Amino acid sequence: MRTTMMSALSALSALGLAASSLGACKWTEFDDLENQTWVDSTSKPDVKSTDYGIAVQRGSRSAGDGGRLVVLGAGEATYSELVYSAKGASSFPPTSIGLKALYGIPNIAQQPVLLADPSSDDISLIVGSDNGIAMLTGAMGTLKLYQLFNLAAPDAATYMLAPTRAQPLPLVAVGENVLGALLPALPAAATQPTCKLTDTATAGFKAQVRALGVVRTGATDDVLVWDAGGKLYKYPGTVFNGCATQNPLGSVDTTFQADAGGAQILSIDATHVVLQGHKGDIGYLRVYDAATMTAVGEAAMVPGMRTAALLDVGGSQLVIVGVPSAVVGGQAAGQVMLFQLSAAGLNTVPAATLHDAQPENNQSFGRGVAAMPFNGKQVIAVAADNEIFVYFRANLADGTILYDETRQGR
Amino acid sequence: MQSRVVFVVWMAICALAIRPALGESVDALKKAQTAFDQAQLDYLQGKYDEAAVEFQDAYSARHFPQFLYNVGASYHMKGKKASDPEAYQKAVDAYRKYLTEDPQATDKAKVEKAIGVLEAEIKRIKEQPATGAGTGSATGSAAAPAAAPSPEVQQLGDVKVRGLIVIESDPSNATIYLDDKRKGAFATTPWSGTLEGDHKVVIEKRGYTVIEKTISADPTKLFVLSAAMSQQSFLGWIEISSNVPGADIFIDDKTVGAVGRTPLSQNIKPGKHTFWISSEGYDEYRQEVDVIANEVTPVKATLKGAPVGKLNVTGLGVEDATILVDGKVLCERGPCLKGIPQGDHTVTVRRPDFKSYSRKITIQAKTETQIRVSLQPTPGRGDAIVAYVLAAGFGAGGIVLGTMANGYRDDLKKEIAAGIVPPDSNDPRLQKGKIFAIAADATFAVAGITALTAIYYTFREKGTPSTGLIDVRALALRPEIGPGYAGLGMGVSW
Repeated sequence: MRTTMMSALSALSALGLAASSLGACKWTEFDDLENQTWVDSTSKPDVKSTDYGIAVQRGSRSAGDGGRLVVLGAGEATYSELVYSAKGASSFPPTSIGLKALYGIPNIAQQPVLLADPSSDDISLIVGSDNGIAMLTGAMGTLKLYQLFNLAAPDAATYMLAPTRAQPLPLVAVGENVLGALLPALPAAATQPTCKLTDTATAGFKAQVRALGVVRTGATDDVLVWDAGGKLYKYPGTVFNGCATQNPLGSVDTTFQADAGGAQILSIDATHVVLQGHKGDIGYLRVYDAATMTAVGEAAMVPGMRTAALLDVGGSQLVIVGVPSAVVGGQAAGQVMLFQLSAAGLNTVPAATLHDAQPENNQSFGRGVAAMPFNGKQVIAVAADNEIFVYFRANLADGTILYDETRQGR
Repeated sequence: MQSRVVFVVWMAICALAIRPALGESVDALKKAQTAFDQAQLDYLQGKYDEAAVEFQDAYSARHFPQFLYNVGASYHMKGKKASDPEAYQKAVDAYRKYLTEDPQATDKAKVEKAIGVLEAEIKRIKEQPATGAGTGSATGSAAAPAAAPSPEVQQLGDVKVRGLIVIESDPSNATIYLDDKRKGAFATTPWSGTLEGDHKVVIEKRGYTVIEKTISADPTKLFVLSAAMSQQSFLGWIEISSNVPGADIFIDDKTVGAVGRTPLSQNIKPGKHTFWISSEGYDEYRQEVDVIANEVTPVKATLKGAPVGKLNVTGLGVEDATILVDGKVLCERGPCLKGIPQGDHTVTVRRPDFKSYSRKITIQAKTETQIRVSLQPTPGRGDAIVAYVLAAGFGAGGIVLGTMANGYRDDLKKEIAAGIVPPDSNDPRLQKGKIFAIAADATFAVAGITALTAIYYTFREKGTPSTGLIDVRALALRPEIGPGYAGLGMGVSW
C-alpha cells in the first residue's frame, strides 16, 4: 500500500515537473515585462470623447523630471492632459475639459490646429465652434478661451512675435485673410485686425492659406504662408500689427498644392523650415531656406502622411512624420517615420519607422505626433485611436541608438 | 445381595513371594472390605446402628477416613429418622473424627455445617417437653411419636455413605499415573479417594516393574487396587525436567509420539537413549544419555524460545484467503490454526477482489485468539479513473496554456531586447500572456488537486470495510481432585 502510494506520488511529481518544464509560467513575469517595455502606451481615460487621441502636443517645455502631453479627443471634443513621471508612468490629472459644454466646440476635425508656444509652456487650440473660431490658450491646467473670431473655421495658424508684442501670439489664417497680431484684449469697439494677403506679381491672386509659419528676422517674426497654389510666400511681420495690405517679401514655388487641413510649416532654425502637407494620399515634405526662399535638398513624397513634428535629439534634428493609414503587417494600422535633417536638407530615406508591435486595422497609429520634453530630453509621442504612445528609447533602422532610455528605472 | 457388593483385590500377581507386610495388609483389607460390604447392606436396609458398627469395624481394619464419615452418616440418618439426639451426637462425634483424620478433606466445610446443624438439633430436641422425642432407641416402644426434624436438618437431606478407591503398592511411595503419563503424575501410593468411570492406572517406582491396570470405579463401592511391585535391578531411572513445564518428551523414536511431559521420572532400559524435549514456541532440546542400571540419570532440558499462543483465523471465504502475520505468510489458505509467539502481531487476511482485513492483536501464551473475519468485496475504482483522466486533461490544458504564455513571454523579451518594433506597455500580448499564465497555473493547480483526488479515490476505503470478530480463549489443564472425582480440568474463559 505504502509502496504503491509512493510510486503514485513519484509519478505525479514527475508529471508535475514535466508539465512545469513544458508549460509552467509565472504570470508575474508579464508584470515585469510590462515594466521593462520602454514604449509606454496609455489608453483613453474616462472622458466622453469617442475618438480620443486625435492630436497631441507637448504640454511643457521645462527640463524637469517627467513630461507632459496635451491630448485632444474627437467625437465629443475633449481636451485632456497626460502627465508622465520621471520613471515614465503615465497618469491623468483631473484637468480634462469637455469642450462642447464649455466652449461650444462640438467636434474636432482630423489634424486640428494645436500649437505650442515657442517661448512658454502655453499651447493654443484654434478650432471652429458654435460661436466662430475659438482660440483656447494657456498652460496645462489653465487653458481658457482667449479670443473668438467671427469666422467658421481656421485654415492655418502659427505663433508669431508681432511688433510691439513681448511674447509670440497665435496668428490665424482664414481664406485670404490673417487675423492678428493679437492683443491680450481688444480695445472697446475695436474690430479684429484683419489683413488681406496680396501678391501683385500674380494676376488675380487670392490667397488660400494652407499653412502658416514664421522665421525670426529681428525684433519681429516674418510670416511664411504656404498657399494652395503651391507657392511659399514670406511676408514682413510688421504688416500684422496694423494690417496694411502688403506684398510678400519673396516667394518660391513649391510645385506642391496641398489640400486643406493638416499642412504645416515647421521652423528648424532662424532661416530654415520644413513644409509638410498632402494632396490626396501623397504627402510632401521638404526643407526650405526662408532667407533665400529656395528649396534645400530633395522633397520626400510620403504616401499617407498627415502630420509632422520636429525632434531635437542632442543637436541632431529629425522630422517625426505620422502616416496613420499606412499598412503594417497587412493591417491599415498606421506608422510613424523619422527623417533626418541636415544642412543638405531632408534625407528622403526614413531613418526609422515606428509602429505598434501588434498592429490593428484602423488603429490610426501616427495621426498625431509630438516631441515631448521628458527628463530634459525630447522623446517621441504618437497618438493613435484612443491610445497614446511615448517612446522612451528609439533606435534607427540601421540599429544605431537614436536616443537611449530616458526613464529613471521604471 | 452379594452381587451389589464388589470386592476387588487386585494382586499384581507376581511369581515372586509376597512379603509378610503386604500379606498383613491384604488380610486387613479383606476384613475391612467384608465389614464395609455388610455395613452398606445394613445401611440400605435402614439398620443404621448395625451399619455404623460395621463401618467402624472396617475403619478398625484399615484407617480410611471415609469409613469414619460413613459411621457419622449412619448415625446421622438414624437420628433423623427418630429425632434421636443420642444418634445425632454419635454422628457429630464420627464427623469430627473424620475431619481430624483427614483435615484436608475437600468436603470439610460441608461436614462442619452438618455438625453445626446436628448440634443445634440435639439441643432443640433436649429442650422439648418429655413427651417429645424418644430415648434413643430406634426400636423403642415409646408411645409418643418422634418429633419431626427441624427444617435445617431437612435441608441437609438424606446422607449417603461413600464408596472408596484405594490404590496401594508394595513398596509404597510409588508414582501413580492416571490414563496417560503425559498428563503428569496423579498421586503417590498409598492413595484413597473417589473416582468415576473407567481409568487406566499406571504405578511406577524406581527399580521396580511398572504396573498398569484398568479399573471401573463406582462411587458407592470400595475398590482396592493393591500392587505388589517386583524389583527390576537391571533397569535405570531417568528423571527428566525442563525450564518449561509441560514440555513433550520423546524417547529414541519421535514417530511413536510423546511418552510424557516434564517433569517425568520413570524406569528405562540401560544403554544409550536419545531424548527430545520440545514445547511449542521453543527450540527443540535434544540429548543423548547413557543410562546405567540402578542409577539415576537426570536430563535437564533448557528450552530456548518464547511461549506461544494459538491464532485461529476462520470466516466465510477464508479458504481462498491468505493469512499473514507481520507481513509473512502464515497460512496459504484458511482456515488457519497455528501457534505464534506471544506478543504484538499484525494479522492480515487477503483475498483477491476483496478488501484486506488487517488487525493488530496481542497473542498471549496458552491462549487461543480466534478471528472470525468477514471479507467484503473490493468496490470498483471508476471514480478514480475518471479523476485521473480529468487530471491528465487539466495537465495537458495547463501545458498548452503555459506554452502559449511562454511563447508570448519569449517574443516580448526578444522584441524588447531587440528594440526594433518594440512592444509597448499596453501590448495585448502582455495581457494575453498574463491571462494564459494565470490560466495555466490555475489549470495546473486544478490538475494537481484532481490528481490528488484521484490518488485519494484510489486508496480510500470505499464501501463497507472487511471486519473481524476476535475471541480470546485462555486454555489451561490442571489436575483436580475432589471427594467424588479426580481428573484433569480445563478452564475456558472469554
